[in-house]
Amino acid sequence: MSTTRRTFIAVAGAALSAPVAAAAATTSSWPPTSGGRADSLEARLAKLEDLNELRALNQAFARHVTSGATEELAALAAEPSGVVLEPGVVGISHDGVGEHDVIEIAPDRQTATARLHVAVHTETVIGPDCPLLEMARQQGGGVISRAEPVVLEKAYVRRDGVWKILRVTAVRA
Amino acid sequence: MPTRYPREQMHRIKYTKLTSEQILGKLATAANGPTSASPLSDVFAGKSLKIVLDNGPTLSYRFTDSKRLSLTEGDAVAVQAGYGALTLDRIALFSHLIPKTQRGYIVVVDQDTNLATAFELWFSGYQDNREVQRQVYQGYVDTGAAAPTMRHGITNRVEGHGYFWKQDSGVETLEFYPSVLYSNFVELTRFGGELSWCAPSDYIKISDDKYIYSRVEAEFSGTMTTYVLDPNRVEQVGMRLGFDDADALEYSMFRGNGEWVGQIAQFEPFGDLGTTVAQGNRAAAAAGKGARQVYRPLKTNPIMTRAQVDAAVAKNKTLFAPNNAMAGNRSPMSTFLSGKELTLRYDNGLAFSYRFDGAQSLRWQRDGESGWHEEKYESFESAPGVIMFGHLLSGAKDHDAFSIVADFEHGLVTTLHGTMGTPYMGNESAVKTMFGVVEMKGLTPPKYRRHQFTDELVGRAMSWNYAPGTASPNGAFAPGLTSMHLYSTPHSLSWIIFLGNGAGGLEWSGPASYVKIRDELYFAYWLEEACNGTLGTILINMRTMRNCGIDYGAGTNGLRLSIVGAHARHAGRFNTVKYFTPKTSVTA
Repeated sequence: MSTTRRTFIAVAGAALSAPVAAAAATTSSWPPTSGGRADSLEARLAKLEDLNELRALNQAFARHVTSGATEELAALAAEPSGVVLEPGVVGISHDGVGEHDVIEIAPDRQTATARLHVAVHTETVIGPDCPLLEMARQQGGGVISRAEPVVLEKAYVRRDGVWKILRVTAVRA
Repeated sequence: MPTRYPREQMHRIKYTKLTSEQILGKLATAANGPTSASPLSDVFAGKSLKIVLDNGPTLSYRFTDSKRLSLTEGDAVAVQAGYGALTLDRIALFSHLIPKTQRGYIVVVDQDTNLATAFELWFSGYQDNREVQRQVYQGYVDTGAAAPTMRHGITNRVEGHGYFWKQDSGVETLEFYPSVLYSNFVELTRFGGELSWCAPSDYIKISDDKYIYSRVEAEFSGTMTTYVLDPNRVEQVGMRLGFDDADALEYSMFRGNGEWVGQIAQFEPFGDLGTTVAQGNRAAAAAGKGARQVYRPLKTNPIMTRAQVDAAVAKNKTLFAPNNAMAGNRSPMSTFLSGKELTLRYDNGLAFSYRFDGAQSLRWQRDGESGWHEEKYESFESAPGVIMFGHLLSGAKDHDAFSIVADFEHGLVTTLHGTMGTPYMGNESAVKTMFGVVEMKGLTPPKYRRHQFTDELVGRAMSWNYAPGTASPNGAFAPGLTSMHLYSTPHSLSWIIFLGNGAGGLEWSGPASYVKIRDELYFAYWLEEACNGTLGTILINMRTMRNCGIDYGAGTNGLRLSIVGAHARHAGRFNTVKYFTPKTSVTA
């Protein structure tokens, strides 16, 4: 990738992203320490549920990017009409078992952020056209494939009780 | 029997677009079963078979004798039909059509394992009704015992095989399997054995020494050939169904034997047994019954008239564009010719004088002309003193171009004279080969020696990598654009495009010829006829294992001369030269 930061999902812009940025700055990390005071069992359960939902959301995001399921991908976003996959991105695979990933949920459980270690798979179309490429494309080739480890910085927002993806940015690992 | 040549080669025949009704009428006699030069087997006579197919119908057969059966498809009403069966060891293959329909089956049963493969066949399933369609099902013979878990299945275990076959009908072919999706076939008796053609194909493993091969001559007659083969014994039993160039029905069983002609390389990772086809995730999805990848070149390269080509060329000529997918491994530009003056004198009486004003600019004149024509050119020094260069002949009525190999150590030259337009297509190249000498100050050419056509490449396969690969930080490596050439006959060449896992994928074939320049140095051309019309010319250096070359073509975007450059790997060889010797009548 030519730049160190890339936006995979474009959303509505500054009006939405600024409050999220503020919220993210005041979040506590998970698992929470809460200054030595244990959260209530109910709160811990709620955060565990949030965590599971966000992990499932991340897996669905990777799955839909990889399968090219644009409608399903849009359904994961807070602003479905704003989903624009960067050209050439054809897949996302998670590195390891998530031991380096961090998900932070805001105390009010309405926003969250994550840093996920993944490999982004890209394909660059070889050109210009020639007869050999024509045949290669028909069978799924004719591209230069790359897999690059990146950290996906994600922002989430809860909409009508359901976690949605607000923004995804890839940072070169 | 002397070699008989057809009036038109297969890719030139204008096969009739038969209507569905015409096909139905022609199939009426086929309901009595296929013909066969060999005695048909009675292996199933008097027996019943219930064949359960995964994701397909259950076929319940009752075989009255060796010629008649009844079939119940699922819960449908039983139908009576003629059939034919042949066996190869313990493998039985039988075929029948369903009367008053355009459908039928080929079923292969392993009598030891009770596993079965069924090809459902039908006509009028594609816009060209005569092209046989097929859906392949795997399953088993229901014996009342527990259903087996094993199945026959698609395989790459015969990829790279090559065979000579002689059938009981007298038909002789060469057949090569350089791909998991396609195959090459050379019709030695039906079409005179000059060219090879390519067909979408199925390869199914029955056991380690029994396989099913099936091809459909898509874009040609649409005929299907399906057989069981035994690589050890080099025996086959099979069936052929389709309509020939006179629209006559051929529905026959055959038995054949032959010779193993060799094995070329496979490029899949070790351990990849080809149980799936590794198509990229952007390939046109093969969906629906009978769907398969078929290369249909004229769909993407429509035929143009000469006037259309002239207009397109008048608008645009692209000469040696630097951005070129097939030149990522191009040879360095040579400066050998720069500043030289010489004449190329050909044995056909033509002579062209040259003044090379720079490394990319030249002037030329025909013998007898007073003026000079200025052209852009590119040149490569493939071996010391052997220069390949090419240029347009601006103003020539057929948009002529030269691809030239001159050997300055021996004073010899071979030129491929490309012209645009044939009686078949305006956007199709034609070529003539000219042999001659280099006349230049300080160089005395030979009087009699010339470069020669050669069959030293025939049967060889070579991979050609046109661009460096790409390494990913995670260690994955993606090869650059790569294909494989199979020099399939002395007069044709096939090109195979690799799938993502290195297996052979789509392929096509065209007329070609090969000229020996020096030991391990060959000047080859191929014509992508009835395709995109390109004339490819390459100088193959088997010592440096690279080529340099020039492609010449025209289309809606005008005319182009483009550089080709690739790195080679040997991919094996079929020993087939002996099959291309012209046969003559021999009288006692």
